[in-house]
Amino acid sequence: MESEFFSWILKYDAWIRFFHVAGAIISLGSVVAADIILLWLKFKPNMASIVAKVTPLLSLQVWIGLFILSVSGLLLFLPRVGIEGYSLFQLKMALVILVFLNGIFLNLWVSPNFNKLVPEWSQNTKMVKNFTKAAGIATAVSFLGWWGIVVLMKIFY
Amino acid sequence: MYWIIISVSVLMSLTSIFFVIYIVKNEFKSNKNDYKWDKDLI
Repeated sequence: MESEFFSWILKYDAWIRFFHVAGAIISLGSVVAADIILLWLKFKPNMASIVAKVTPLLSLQVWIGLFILSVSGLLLFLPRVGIEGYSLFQLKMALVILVFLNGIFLNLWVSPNFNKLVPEWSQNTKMVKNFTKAAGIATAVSFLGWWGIVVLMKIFY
Repeated sequence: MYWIIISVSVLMSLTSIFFVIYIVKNEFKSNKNDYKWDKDLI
Protein backbone atom coordinates (compact mmCIF):
# COMPACT_ATOMS: atom_id res chain seq x y z
CA MET A 1 0.00 0.00 0.00
CA GLU A 2 2.79 2.37 1.01
CA SER A 3 4.94 1.53 -2.02
CA GLU A 4 1.90 2.00 -4.29
CA PHE A 5 1.49 5.49 -2.85
CA PHE A 6 5.17 6.32 -3.42
CA SER A 7 5.11 4.95 -6.99
CA TRP A 8 2.03 7.12 -7.65
CA ILE A 9 3.94 10.15 -6.34
CA LEU A 10 6.99 9.34 -8.50
CA LYS A 11 4.74 8.97 -11.57
CA TYR A 12 3.56 12.55 -11.13
CA ASP A 13 6.95 13.82 -9.92
CA ALA A 14 7.40 16.31 -12.81
CA TRP A 15 4.01 17.89 -12.06
CA ILE A 16 4.73 18.05 -8.34
CA ARG A 17 8.06 19.78 -9.15
CA PHE A 18 6.15 22.20 -11.39
CA PHE A 19 3.82 23.13 -8.53
CA HIS A 20 6.79 23.43 -6.15
CA VAL A 21 8.47 25.93 -8.48
CA ALA A 22 5.11 27.69 -9.09
CA GLY A 23 4.63 28.08 -5.32
CA ALA A 24 8.08 29.64 -5.03
CA ILE A 25 7.33 32.04 -7.93
CA ILE A 26 4.03 33.11 -6.30
CA SER A 27 5.64 33.71 -2.88
CA LEU A 28 8.88 35.30 -4.06
CA GLY A 29 6.98 37.54 -6.49
CA SER A 30 4.94 38.88 -3.61
CA VAL A 31 8.02 39.37 -1.40
CA VAL A 32 9.83 41.37 -4.10
CA ALA A 33 6.68 43.45 -4.78
CA ALA A 34 6.32 44.15 -1.02
CA ASP A 35 9.96 45.24 -0.80
CA ILE A 36 9.54 47.64 -3.74
CA ILE A 37 6.37 49.07 -2.15
CA LEU A 38 8.16 49.53 1.20
CA LEU A 39 11.03 51.27 -0.56
CA TRP A 40 8.43 53.54 -2.21
CA LEU A 41 6.99 54.26 1.26
CA LYS A 42 10.44 55.37 2.43
CA PHE A 43 10.42 58.08 -0.25
CA LYS A 44 6.67 58.83 -0.03
CA PRO A 45 5.68 58.57 3.66
CA ASN A 46 2.31 60.21 3.02
CA MET A 47 1.32 57.09 1.02
CA ALA A 48 1.23 54.93 4.17
CA SER A 49 -2.53 54.42 3.94
CA ILE A 50 -2.22 52.93 0.44
CA VAL A 51 0.62 50.66 1.55
CA ALA A 52 -1.45 49.51 4.58
CA LYS A 53 -4.24 48.47 2.22
CA VAL A 54 -2.03 46.67 -0.29
CA THR A 55 0.34 44.74 2.03
CA PRO A 56 -2.32 42.30 3.41
CA LEU A 57 -3.08 41.28 -0.18
CA LEU A 58 0.60 40.63 -0.84
CA SER A 59 0.70 38.69 2.40
CA LEU A 60 -2.23 36.61 1.18
CA GLN A 61 -0.24 35.83 -1.98
CA VAL A 62 2.73 34.64 0.13
CA TRP A 63 0.50 32.30 2.16
CA ILE A 64 -1.07 30.85 -1.01
CA GLY A 65 2.44 30.27 -2.38
CA LEU A 66 3.60 28.75 0.91
CA PHE A 67 0.63 26.38 0.94
CA ILE A 68 1.44 25.16 -2.59
CA LEU A 69 5.13 24.88 -1.61
CA SER A 70 4.51 22.89 1.57
CA VAL A 71 2.06 20.42 -0.01
CA SER A 72 4.21 19.87 -3.11
CA GLY A 73 7.37 19.84 -0.95
CA LEU A 74 5.89 17.13 1.25
CA LEU A 75 4.96 15.02 -1.79
CA LEU A 76 8.48 15.45 -3.20
CA PHE A 77 10.06 14.61 0.14
CA LEU A 78 8.06 11.46 1.04
CA PRO A 79 9.63 9.00 -1.46
CA ARG A 80 13.14 10.43 -1.04
CA VAL A 81 14.24 8.77 2.19
CA GLY A 82 17.74 9.94 3.14
CA ILE A 83 17.56 13.44 1.61
CA GLU A 84 17.02 14.84 5.12
CA GLY A 85 20.65 13.91 5.89
CA TYR A 86 22.05 16.45 3.41
CA SER A 87 23.23 19.65 5.10
CA LEU A 88 21.99 21.82 2.20
CA PHE A 89 18.52 20.31 2.55
CA GLN A 90 18.62 20.94 6.29
CA LEU A 91 19.68 24.55 5.61
CA LYS A 92 16.76 24.95 3.20
CA MET A 93 14.32 23.56 5.76
CA ALA A 94 15.76 25.89 8.42
CA LEU A 95 15.17 28.86 6.09
CA VAL A 96 11.63 27.63 5.36
CA ILE A 97 10.87 27.46 9.11
CA LEU A 98 12.44 30.93 9.55
CA VAL A 99 10.28 32.57 6.83
CA PHE A 100 7.25 30.68 8.13
CA LEU A 101 7.66 32.05 11.69
CA ASN A 102 8.56 35.47 10.29
CA GLY A 103 5.35 35.39 8.21
CA ILE A 104 3.29 34.74 11.34
CA PHE A 105 5.04 37.68 13.07
CA LEU A 106 4.41 39.95 10.05
CA ASN A 107 0.70 39.07 10.00
CA LEU A 108 -0.04 39.10 13.71
CA TRP A 109 2.21 41.97 14.91
CA VAL A 110 3.61 44.09 12.06
CA SER A 111 0.46 44.46 9.97
CA PRO A 112 -1.97 45.43 12.81
CA ASN A 113 0.55 47.89 14.32
CA PHE A 114 1.23 49.44 10.93
CA ASN A 115 -2.51 50.08 10.52
CA LYS A 116 -2.55 51.87 13.89
CA LEU A 117 0.47 54.03 13.00
CA VAL A 118 -0.74 55.14 9.55
CA PRO A 119 -2.20 58.51 10.73
CA GLU A 120 1.13 59.56 12.31
CA TRP A 121 3.40 57.91 9.72
CA SER A 122 4.36 61.06 7.79
CA GLN A 123 5.25 62.85 11.06
CA ASN A 124 7.87 60.15 11.73
CA THR A 125 7.14 59.99 15.46
CA LYS A 126 9.19 57.97 17.96
CA MET A 127 6.69 55.11 17.74
CA VAL A 128 6.97 55.08 13.96
CA LYS A 129 10.78 54.99 14.22
CA ASN A 130 10.71 52.06 16.69
CA PHE A 131 8.18 50.22 14.56
CA THR A 132 10.28 50.79 11.43
CA LYS A 133 13.28 49.12 13.09
CA ALA A 134 11.32 45.96 14.05
CA ALA A 135 9.45 45.80 10.76
CA GLY A 136 12.69 46.44 8.85
CA ILE A 137 14.37 43.42 10.49
CA ALA A 138 11.32 41.23 9.65
CA THR A 139 11.38 42.49 6.05
CA ALA A 140 15.12 41.76 5.73
CA VAL A 141 14.61 38.24 7.15
CA SER A 142 11.80 37.68 4.66
CA PHE A 143 13.87 38.95 1.70
CA LEU A 144 17.04 37.00 2.54
CA GLY A 145 15.12 33.88 3.62
CA TRP A 146 13.00 33.62 0.47
CA TRP A 147 15.91 34.29 -1.86
CA GLY A 148 17.99 31.73 0.05
CA ILE A 149 15.23 29.13 -0.34
CA VAL A 150 14.97 29.73 -4.10
CA VAL A 151 18.75 29.58 -4.57
CA LEU A 152 18.85 26.27 -2.66
CA MET A 153 15.92 24.99 -4.76
CA LYS A 154 18.00 25.71 -7.86
CA ILE A 155 20.89 23.68 -6.39
CA PHE A 156 18.57 20.71 -5.67
CA TYR A 157 16.83 20.62 -9.06
CA MET B 1 14.47 13.97 11.14
CA TYR B 2 12.22 12.38 8.48
CA TRP B 3 9.12 12.72 10.67
CA ILE B 4 10.07 16.21 11.86
CA ILE B 5 10.12 17.45 8.25
CA ILE B 6 6.79 15.76 7.53
CA SER B 7 5.27 17.31 10.66
CA VAL B 8 6.64 20.78 9.80
CA SER B 9 5.25 20.52 6.24
CA VAL B 10 1.80 19.51 7.50
CA LEU B 11 1.87 22.28 10.11
CA MET B 12 2.85 24.85 7.47
CA SER B 13 0.07 23.70 5.12
CA LEU B 14 -2.56 24.03 7.84
CA THR B 15 -1.20 27.40 9.04
CA SER B 16 -1.18 28.68 5.44
CA ILE B 17 -4.85 27.72 5.05
CA PHE B 18 -5.60 29.46 8.36
CA PHE B 19 -3.92 32.71 7.25
CA VAL B 20 -5.55 32.62 3.80
CA ILE B 21 -8.97 32.38 5.49
CA TYR B 22 -7.95 34.97 8.13
CA ILE B 23 -6.84 37.55 5.54
CA VAL B 24 -9.78 36.93 3.19
CA LYS B 25 -12.18 37.25 6.13
CA ASN B 26 -10.61 40.50 7.39
CA GLU B 27 -9.87 42.20 4.09
CA PHE B 28 -12.62 41.00 1.76
CA LYS B 29 -15.61 40.09 3.89
CA SER B 30 -15.66 42.43 6.88
CA ASN B 31 -15.05 46.07 7.69
CA LYS B 32 -12.70 45.13 10.54
CA ASN B 33 -9.66 46.66 8.86
CA ASP B 34 -11.46 49.75 7.60
CA TYR B 35 -10.12 52.86 9.30
CA LYS B 36 -10.93 56.53 9.40
CA TRP B 37 -7.98 57.20 7.14
CA ASP B 38 -9.55 55.01 4.46
CA LYS B 39 -11.54 58.00 3.25
CA ASP B 40 -8.24 59.67 2.23
CA LEU B 41 -7.82 56.97 -0.40
CA ILE B 42 -11.08 57.79 -2.15
